[in-house]
Amino acid sequence: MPGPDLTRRHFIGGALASCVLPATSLMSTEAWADQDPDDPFQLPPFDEKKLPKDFRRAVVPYPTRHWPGTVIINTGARQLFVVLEGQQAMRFGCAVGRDGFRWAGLADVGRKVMWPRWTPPKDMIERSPEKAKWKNGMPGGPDNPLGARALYLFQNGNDTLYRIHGTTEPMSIGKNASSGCIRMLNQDVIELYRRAPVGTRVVVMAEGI
Amino acid sequence: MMFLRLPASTLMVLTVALLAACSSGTTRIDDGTNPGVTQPPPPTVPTGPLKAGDIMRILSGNSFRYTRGSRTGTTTFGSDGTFTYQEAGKGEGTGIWQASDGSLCEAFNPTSFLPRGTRTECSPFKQTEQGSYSAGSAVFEAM
Repeated sequence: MPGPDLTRRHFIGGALASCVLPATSLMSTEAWADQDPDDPFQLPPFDEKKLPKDFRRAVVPYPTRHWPGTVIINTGARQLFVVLEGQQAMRFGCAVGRDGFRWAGLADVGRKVMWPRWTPPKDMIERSPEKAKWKNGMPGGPDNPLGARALYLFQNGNDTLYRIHGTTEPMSIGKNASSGCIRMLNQDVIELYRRAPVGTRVVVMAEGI
Repeated sequence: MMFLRLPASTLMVLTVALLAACSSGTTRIDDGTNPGVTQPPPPTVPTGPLKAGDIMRILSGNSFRYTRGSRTGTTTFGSDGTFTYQEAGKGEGTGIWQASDGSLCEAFNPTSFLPRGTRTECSPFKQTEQGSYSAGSAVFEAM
């Protein structure tokens, strides 16, 4: 039985792989594991162990009467839960609005976008004039503050202008940092994007407002 | 990210607060027999939008008879943000609710007679002159 046909090309390829793989593994493996193969951009690496444990993704006990699939945001705890079967939930850390910018209510996911375009609203430009350069929209990509994915929240069939989205500031997770939107790690919002179809119910709890 | 504009409900609250500041005070009724005596006004329903906490106190843990157009039934609002209902001639179902200042948001879960459920609808929540409560086309009467 013939053995493997090792050629010089195989040898060089293997040697290159042995050089490349350790370099890749220096990046957060979690980030790469969450990357979709057809994603047009690579996720900036981030080691979620830099975040307190309560803000890292985990499956946790979650006794509730809400239907599986419901997304529940505990504003006070800065945590987002996706209700699972069996009185469990997948927990994610998130950032919520700064003082005066938090809100509560029910909404539906009305639209989902990969690497969304971001257009700062007029009042944000008034507060931060340097953002005026993006008044016609900033293309999606790793530098876009909406991050890798956005889920647009609707009420009565209309866009609330609130979104659940990724971030370019992963260390803001767990803080009251946004202007009302719900901010997640890019790898987490990608997971949520996969799990939450259009029509998903979103409950933003009033505690912590 | 900034997407927040000053909500209409906040503007309404501020407007109502300003108006209330202009119109507060008891109603002076001079019946000619005892001039200068101020009588309390007759009880009235609250004017202006109810705060989220008020709506939660009214609904949470309580049961109501409801009418929604031609539909009637009974419903109980749970303190966990879910509700159950029994609709006359249809059956029972569940949903989720949330109060915000001046409004009640509800969404009905799918059930046999409502196979797709409903999307989230938020409606102004008010107390009626009859002492019941209304939210959009729904009227809730305490049981």
